[in-house]
Amino acid sequence: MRDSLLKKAHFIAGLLPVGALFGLLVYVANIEIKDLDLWLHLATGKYIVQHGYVPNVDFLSCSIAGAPWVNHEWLFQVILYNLFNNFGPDGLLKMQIVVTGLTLGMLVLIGYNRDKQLFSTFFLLLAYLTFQQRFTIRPDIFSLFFFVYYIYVLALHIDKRWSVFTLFIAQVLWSNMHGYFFFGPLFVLLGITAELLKRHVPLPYEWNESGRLTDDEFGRLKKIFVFVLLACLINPGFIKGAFYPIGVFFSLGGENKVFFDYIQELAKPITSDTLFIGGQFIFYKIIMLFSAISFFLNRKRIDVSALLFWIIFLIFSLKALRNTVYFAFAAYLVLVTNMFSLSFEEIIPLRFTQKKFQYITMIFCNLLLLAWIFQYCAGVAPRGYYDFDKYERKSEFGGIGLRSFSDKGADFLVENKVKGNFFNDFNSGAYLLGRCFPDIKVFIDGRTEVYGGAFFKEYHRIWKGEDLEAFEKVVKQYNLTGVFLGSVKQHIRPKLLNYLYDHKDWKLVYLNYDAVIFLKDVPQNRAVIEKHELDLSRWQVEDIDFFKLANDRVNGYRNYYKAYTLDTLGFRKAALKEVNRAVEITPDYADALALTGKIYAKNKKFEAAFKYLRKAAIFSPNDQSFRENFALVYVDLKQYEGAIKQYEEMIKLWPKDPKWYFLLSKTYAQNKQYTDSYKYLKIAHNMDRNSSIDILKIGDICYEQGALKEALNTYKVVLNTGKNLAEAYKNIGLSYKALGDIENAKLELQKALNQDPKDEAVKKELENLKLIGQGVDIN
Amino acid sequence: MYKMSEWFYEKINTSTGLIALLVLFGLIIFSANLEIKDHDLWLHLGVGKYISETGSVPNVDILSSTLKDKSWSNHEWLFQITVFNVYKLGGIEGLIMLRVVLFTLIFFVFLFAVFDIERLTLPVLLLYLVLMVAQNRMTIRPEIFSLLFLSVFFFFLSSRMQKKSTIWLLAIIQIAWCNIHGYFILGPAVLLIGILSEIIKRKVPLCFEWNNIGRLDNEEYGNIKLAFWVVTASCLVNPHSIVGFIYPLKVMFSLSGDSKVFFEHITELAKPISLNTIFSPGEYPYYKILIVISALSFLFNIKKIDLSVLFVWLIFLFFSLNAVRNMVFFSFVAFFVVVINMQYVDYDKLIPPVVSGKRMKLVCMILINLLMINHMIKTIDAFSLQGYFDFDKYERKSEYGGVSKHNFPEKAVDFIVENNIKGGIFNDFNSGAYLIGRTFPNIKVFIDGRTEVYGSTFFQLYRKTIEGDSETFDRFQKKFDLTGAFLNLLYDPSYAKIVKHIYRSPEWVLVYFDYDAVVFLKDVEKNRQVIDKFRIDLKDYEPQRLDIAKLGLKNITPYRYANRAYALLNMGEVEKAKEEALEALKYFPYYSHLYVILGKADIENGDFENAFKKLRVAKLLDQKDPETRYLLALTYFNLGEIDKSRQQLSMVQGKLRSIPEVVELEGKLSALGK
Repeated sequence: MRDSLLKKAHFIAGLLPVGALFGLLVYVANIEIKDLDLWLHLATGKYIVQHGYVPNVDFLSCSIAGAPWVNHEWLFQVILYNLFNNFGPDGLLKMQIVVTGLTLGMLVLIGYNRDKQLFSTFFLLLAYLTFQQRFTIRPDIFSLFFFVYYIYVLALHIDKRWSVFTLFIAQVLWSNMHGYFFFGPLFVLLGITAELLKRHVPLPYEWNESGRLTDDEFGRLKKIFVFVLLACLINPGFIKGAFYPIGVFFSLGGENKVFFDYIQELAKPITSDTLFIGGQFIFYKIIMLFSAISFFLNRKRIDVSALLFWIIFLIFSLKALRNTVYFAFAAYLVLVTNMFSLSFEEIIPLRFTQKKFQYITMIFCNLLLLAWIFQYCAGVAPRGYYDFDKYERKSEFGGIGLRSFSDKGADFLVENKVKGNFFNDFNSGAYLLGRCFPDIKVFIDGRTEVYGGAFFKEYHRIWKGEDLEAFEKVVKQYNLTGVFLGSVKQHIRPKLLNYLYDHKDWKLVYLNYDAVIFLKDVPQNRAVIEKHELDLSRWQVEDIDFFKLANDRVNGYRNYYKAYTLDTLGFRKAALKEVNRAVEITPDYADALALTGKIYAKNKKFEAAFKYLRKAAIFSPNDQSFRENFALVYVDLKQYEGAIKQYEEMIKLWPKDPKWYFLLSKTYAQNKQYTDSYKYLKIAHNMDRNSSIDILKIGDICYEQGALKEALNTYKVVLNTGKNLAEAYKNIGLSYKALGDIENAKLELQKALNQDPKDEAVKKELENLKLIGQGVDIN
Repeated sequence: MYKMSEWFYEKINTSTGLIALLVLFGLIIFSANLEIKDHDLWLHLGVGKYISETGSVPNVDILSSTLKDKSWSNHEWLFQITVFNVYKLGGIEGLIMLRVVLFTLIFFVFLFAVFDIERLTLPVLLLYLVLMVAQNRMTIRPEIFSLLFLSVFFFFLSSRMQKKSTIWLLAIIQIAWCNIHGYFILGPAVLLIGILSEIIKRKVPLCFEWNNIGRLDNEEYGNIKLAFWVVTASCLVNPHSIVGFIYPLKVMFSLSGDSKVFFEHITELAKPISLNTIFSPGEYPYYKILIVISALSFLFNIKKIDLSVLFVWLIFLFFSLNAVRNMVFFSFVAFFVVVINMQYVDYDKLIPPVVSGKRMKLVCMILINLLMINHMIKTIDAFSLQGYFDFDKYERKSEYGGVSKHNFPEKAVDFIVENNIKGGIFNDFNSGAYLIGRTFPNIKVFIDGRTEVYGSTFFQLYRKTIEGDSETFDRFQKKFDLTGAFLNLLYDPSYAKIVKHIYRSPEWVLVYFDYDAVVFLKDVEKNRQVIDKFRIDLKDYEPQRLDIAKLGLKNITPYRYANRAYALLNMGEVEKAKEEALEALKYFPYYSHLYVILGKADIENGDFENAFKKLRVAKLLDQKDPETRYLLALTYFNLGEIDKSRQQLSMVQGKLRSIPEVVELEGKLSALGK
């Protein structure tokens, strides 16, 4: 009687954390809209709904207008647009809650086991915690839903006839929603391969029998494969549409590799540096570890299909962090499969095998799990930030993010009815489309596969200001009449910004924390330019009401970003005012303090610069740029000992970076400690055999200070790099000359001339040396 | 082949276990090398010096101006002459060495009692936890001898009671113990527990196998009874005979009633666990872990519990739950308890079958050993980085070795010594022992760490005075002929009222003012020369400047500036206090106390808008400081923001809640209604 009561209590206690987990999902899936590409999907969805067809060429961009575009996400876009149109942002968030909730629900059905509730809930929690990292309104959430649906049907209902039909339908929908639809056929293929292995290859232990299908099930699986393959063809692009994602997938090598360098979600989740760092993808790492251990514990009864599935998705997830959730779901399947193959008696120590004891322990653990979920929820709930416009806290849940988009910049364009083709930064493209299409056509947006690696590289060169001629070219080529440079969570590159500001054809009409807008001085823009052209010399800092701010922790990021842009444009006084306001709002805002220091340093007020850079570096001692600037200001103050100490500390912190050794060597040279300078120069050179400029600079310092032998030795190191040889030989020659060794000087200068026959200065030096050799007094 | 492999794992297990043990002892030696920061040590040195020089243990007070000739049962005299002589021979490093030796010995005795070269994992793990608990009590005090003697008692009781010689050894130890520390009663108490448990095991039918576990044979039982009487009799061998024997018991029983006041004001007498902190991982986590582990060990060994072990555990648990300083005693007991309980537990029943098998067990042990080694090395590394900035030398002072630079009013006492100042002085509680150690017999203190000698009534009067009751102060100065006042600013920079009272009193002159203390001398003949030479006019005060370039990125806490600024503020020099705080902000901008001082200064000037700005920053830097919350509440109140004032006041917790200013503000807010 007592046992049965405990059993019931155990069952109920087991349901509580699952319920709480759904509660948590509902809360977290309501996270504010902050995804950039969402706006691109909305714009496209709007177009499709209004025109009634899915275009097969680009119509959003000015740079690739008319280029073929296989839009394999059109169905998602249409759904999204209709929800947004009818219910606004909340409609989108509700959709996210429903889709993710259904996904979690299916995971529960896959893993639920009444006797081992605790284990299945714990694994579900791990899978969920990885899943919630990708709660964004993107086609991915549908892919994850279909992914789990496939697992659900193939793992639990392969014996049913309806499985063929239902997977066919799912595959049709999937093929029109997201490029990852090829996972569907891939799953089935994996199942078939595993079954063939079990049937035809002798495997260790009981692997041949574990999870083996009946002939009937195997036959159905093959049938499913054929049907889902056919389903992939049902899309507006037909065969092209079916193969498009595979083409994209395989094109990710070669020139498209560039995307992995710049796009965050394509970065690797684990590197050798982050392998043991707890905070980085901790739940992904835990579920990976647990699932690997589960294979070890169940080593005798491994299901080969689960193993193949696990390995393939592990590799897939290790390549890009956006795939980690797929692996988490695969690992969840593996965990439940392996743990259910193990009997309780094998897992539980003998000491605790008594049923009553087990029930009590399970109830206790379930309650602990419940408490943890509540605590986690309590930790998540207060997340938010300050809304400066309303002087109140904005929760991170519900609505549209206020710090994720250049909303004020876009408002400016909309309010002033600005039209035309725009050059824009990569991050702003999708948002501009969502807010300003069709008035504005963008230069680039999030559709990397449509633009291609070569175009992206060209864009990047322009954005970094490395190729301003290319910018002038694209202005003409695409008839660009506006430039929109977003500065949300990024700084606008100085070269491009200054180029535009200094250019007579471009007029600055908008500068704020979120973006900078230039309009070309053409008739269509003239009215806006006349009304809004900015004179930065009359910049005023907006007032802030500190009493309204109260004593909450507020980040003065708006003033900081404005200050950064102003400083980049050379308006240091205005920048200082802005950044001072940022520090007033947030006294320990390290970035703002560092910027203040840098501005003072540019103004040659090194003592003030020292004060602020020190504050920044004390607050963030592991920030390389703060530390470097702090050391540099010591050099500016001619306090070389202080700089040396800083560089020595930086070498301890980042011993693999040759930069600090070069800087230390340089400072030693400035302090006339030439032996130490040479010692660190050699270390730096051995670490980076290609760097020649730094060595030349150190040699110049020695030369200018009259340490000619040391200069000579330093210049000779440049020869090992194989770079800047002309300059190296020239400097060696000049050093010999200064040392009075005319013969060697001639020899080296001749080598310099061989390297660069056009160098007039070397020619002249050689002539002088010839005259000296002939006994002519050239003075 | 398989056997070979098992042999290999066994050797690896033994080797890693031994390495873990070595690292543990390395950590013990490193930890025990902590700098000297204990106040009472100076009292012991002062008294030790007196006893060594005069050759007698005084039975009346000789140190204080307020207790003059009051009877004093000094039960720590042997410790005092030991530390004094060690100090005389080896200086500060000698004292630290003494602590290193004693701690190493204590851990060695505990380990030796349970040593098994093939099963080192559990003892090393437990001793590591014990060491982490002991970190809070790494002091040079008589109690480390108590720990040593207790460990020896446990060792003999657990393994040597069949020998008669043990009794005499215990008696010798007990004689030393009762002349070193008041906890000597633990010796007879432990024996008594052993006897009582044995009686229960013999006479009362107990559950499971409890009657037979740890049962003594008749010879051992006879020995333990004899040992109890001999050890109890040994307690009489002290300079005060029966009075000395009963004295610690009297003190213990007097700790309720009026003496409760000590528990409120003396940190080491505070309770380690309260309802609010029971689940907070930051408060004594290792102590809590040891409670849980030792309790679980009883659960695992429910059928074979040794009653004497259970009694010892319960008594020391109770003992430790009452005062922080007893935690370390419990932790050693917990170590013993777990090891004894686990020797009866069948490990095979505790390990899941899926990972059973000897080889698997050995692999697990090796892994645990390696993890422990890694963790202990990391702990050593973390400890070695602990330190603070030495303002005098512009360098980091490690927390290991030497005397602490920020625990004692060193410079102020130097001033007293150098100027040969004499007489009875008014001082704060924390400075008393240090003043005795450095200036006795020239200076007689008002109060020091011997709370049991001063008694609770006097202590309460002292608290009243230090918190600003100027009348009591004036009465005391006449009654005890006080000609000096020494107020240490290191510990409580908020003795505002009393400092202000003395500073403004025409008969007192400020002669020393710095971060560590303020010294006032009464304007009497014997002090005149010093007063003429050192009279301070704070109107001319200039903040000290630091070489900021030399400071670099050193993470300094400008406590010296904050202390001085607080003192200036307390003495009514508001502008000077602001200058001092602003100077400090140049060196370290994230020290919330400085903003609190600036805020307070603005409040003093009635500038609540600026006060708000400063206090806002203070709160952003330190959310938990109750003083900031109170000042914010006060500022909001004066700015007419009543709801916000209430909100901030609700955050004021702890002692601050009962100070008159807070009560007054609370009253005003209540009067306004909702």
